[in-house]
Amino acid sequence: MQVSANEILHTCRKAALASGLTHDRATDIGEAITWLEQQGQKGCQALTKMLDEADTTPPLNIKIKDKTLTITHHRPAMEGIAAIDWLIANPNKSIKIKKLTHGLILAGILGAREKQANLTFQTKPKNWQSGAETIEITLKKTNPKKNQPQKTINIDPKIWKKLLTQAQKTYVPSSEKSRKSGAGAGLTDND
Amino acid sequence: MSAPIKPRPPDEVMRLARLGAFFPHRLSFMRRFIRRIASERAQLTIPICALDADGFGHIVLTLPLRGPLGGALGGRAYSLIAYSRPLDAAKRTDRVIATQWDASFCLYDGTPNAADITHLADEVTRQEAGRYHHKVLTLSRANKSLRLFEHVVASLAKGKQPDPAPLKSIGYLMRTTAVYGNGKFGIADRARIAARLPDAFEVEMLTVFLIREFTFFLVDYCAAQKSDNAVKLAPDYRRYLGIGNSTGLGMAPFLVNHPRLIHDWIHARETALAKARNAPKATAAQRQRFNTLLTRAKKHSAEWQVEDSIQMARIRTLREELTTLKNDLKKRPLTEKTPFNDAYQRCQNMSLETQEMMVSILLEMDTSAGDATKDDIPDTPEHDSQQILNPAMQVGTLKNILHEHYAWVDDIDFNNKESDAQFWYTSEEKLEPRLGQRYTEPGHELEMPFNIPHYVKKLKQVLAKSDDKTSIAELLITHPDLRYMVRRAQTTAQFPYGEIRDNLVSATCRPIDLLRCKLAFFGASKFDPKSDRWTRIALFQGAPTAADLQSKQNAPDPDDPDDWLFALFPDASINANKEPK
Repeated sequence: MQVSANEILHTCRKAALASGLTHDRATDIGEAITWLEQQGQKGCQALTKMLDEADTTPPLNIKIKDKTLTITHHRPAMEGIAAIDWLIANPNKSIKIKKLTHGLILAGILGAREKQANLTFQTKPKNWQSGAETIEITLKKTNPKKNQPQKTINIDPKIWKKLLTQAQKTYVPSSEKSRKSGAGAGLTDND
Repeated sequence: MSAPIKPRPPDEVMRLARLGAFFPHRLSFMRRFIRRIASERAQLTIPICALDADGFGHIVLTLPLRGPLGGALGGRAYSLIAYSRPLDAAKRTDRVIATQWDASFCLYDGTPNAADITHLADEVTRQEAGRYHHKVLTLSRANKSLRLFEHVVASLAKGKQPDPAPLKSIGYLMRTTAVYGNGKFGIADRARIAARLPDAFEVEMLTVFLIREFTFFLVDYCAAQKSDNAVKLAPDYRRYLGIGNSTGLGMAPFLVNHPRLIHDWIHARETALAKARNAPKATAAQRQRFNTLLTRAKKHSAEWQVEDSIQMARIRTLREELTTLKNDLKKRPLTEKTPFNDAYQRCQNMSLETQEMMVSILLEMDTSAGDATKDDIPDTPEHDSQQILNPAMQVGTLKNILHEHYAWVDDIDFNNKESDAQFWYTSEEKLEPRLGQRYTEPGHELEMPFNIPHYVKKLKQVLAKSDDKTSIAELLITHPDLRYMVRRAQTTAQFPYGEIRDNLVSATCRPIDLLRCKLAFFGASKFDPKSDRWTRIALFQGAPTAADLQSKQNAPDPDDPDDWLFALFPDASINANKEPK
């Protein structure tokens, strides 16, 4: 089914929020998945897998020694985002991720941050995938990137439904009291 | 030589009470939109009309726009497809939770063919329950203001103009309850059309403008179906009538969630005000213009009647203060030096309504050589990410930011439950944003992140124990839960008009103040609060119609289609038994 980028952004943000992520991290995940889908990658599908095994509890499994930040247990929305923040603050240093999981989500986070902040992340090995033993990420400054023209995005309806169901957990059930306070309430509209 | 007057600081402007006293102004989006279509001499056409004798069926209204740079960025036709349906009175409701309407609309990118219109009929008439594609740019619906609509049709069918009284008091033939854009339900993302329609909410303004034209067409059409002697609604009445709207809490979260965009809007307004206040002198024409607008503002406030006791008391004060101002000006004309600053200063001991109405008047004083300042809100409001974290910042710098921009939080008594008595949330019912009572209603664990004072307090506590030289990135590794507020505060430091400097979850927060701020930027007028959570308004009231802009004969001022601030009801004698040529 065809969906808009804005729908992906907000549905994925809410789904991430419902899994226990904070608002800022859920927004980053929404932006990451939107970026992936605009690149033709199956970001929504990857997100459903990540949310299935969501673990959003601090503390972060991060060690910093000399010029390297090492992630011993990688959760893209937790250690991944924190490590990227750290690398941007320390552009001459590097991140090492041992036992990478949900690599596509991490790629989305990197891609979205590149787009926002005019940065380029470099990874070793270049063609890393989920399950790679260890990857290293470094940073270099680049010129502003041009916005790509919007593409039509199609999502598997089953995946989309799953995300919508998850997003729905962020909504509060309606009550008669809350209904009475909304716009248009309490007046006859046949005037 | 004295120092130039600076824009008013965010601590003064970004307070709920002041935001809740804003009036439309020359930077408002409807004004900008009318300027655009007037400059393009856009010609409205009705390529398809398939309405029955009762006005039910569908109709297409098309407006071609050249696009920025004289069409270099893609001139295009935009078509409002309107579906008019019979509606049981029992089902007519302005609530967003409604499922049927008198009329449903979509704005189509281009000119739709018969298959498009048939396919979209099933979707558009169900609004949020339908599914759309990127050729659909907006989605909307409206209900008739039933008494007025029927009275106007009946009068026109009898060959006479409607009574002025109901036209004046109601001010619109239909009112919308939602205009959806930017990717909702599969319609086009804003990014897809931003190069062609770069202004904030431009595509939504275009939609409402065309809905207004639809209402004029519909009353003329229905009257003509009833009688061969029917006349058309008079141009002055058409110009006075806008489109009604019921606006609730749905609009408020936008202001909190888009700080960079809100900063752009408010900053442009405050910069324009400072520019007017700094004008060293005024020409005779400018003084005349000022007096004309002040007189019009006074008449406008006299015509502004609402049932809400709080707002009506404010309007009465406004009327009295405008009278005082006018009398004072007779005795003591504006000073020779910086006359518009004098005008501004004379209101400073008056109510916020009067102060902000004066701001709208002063923004009309074109103190530049030409039109360069007329559109000085930055064009591309499509900030991919509203807030970008600066993880390299040091803790000491962040402390300074909190000190400079969040000092207002220090005045809050966090031990008092009233300080966080309310919470904002999204209801599962049509995803309507609502406000709940934290200590008596369920759902606060799902609240929107608007408890800014609480987040600031928590952040300050952690920062107080941190070394000033520590980077934010390191701080957030040990305190990941603070990242939202850190990012927000850093954004505020760069875009200081982007943060509302009041407690949005306190027991005394009046959401209607947020609504009015945004609606004033839209260009809405005649705010008519129905509670502290929702209001009725009029859109495009007093604006030139498509016919005005095409013929230029009937415009309020043929040389200035932009002169429609503070709409006034036309002199009844003008329209008695008059029909357009």
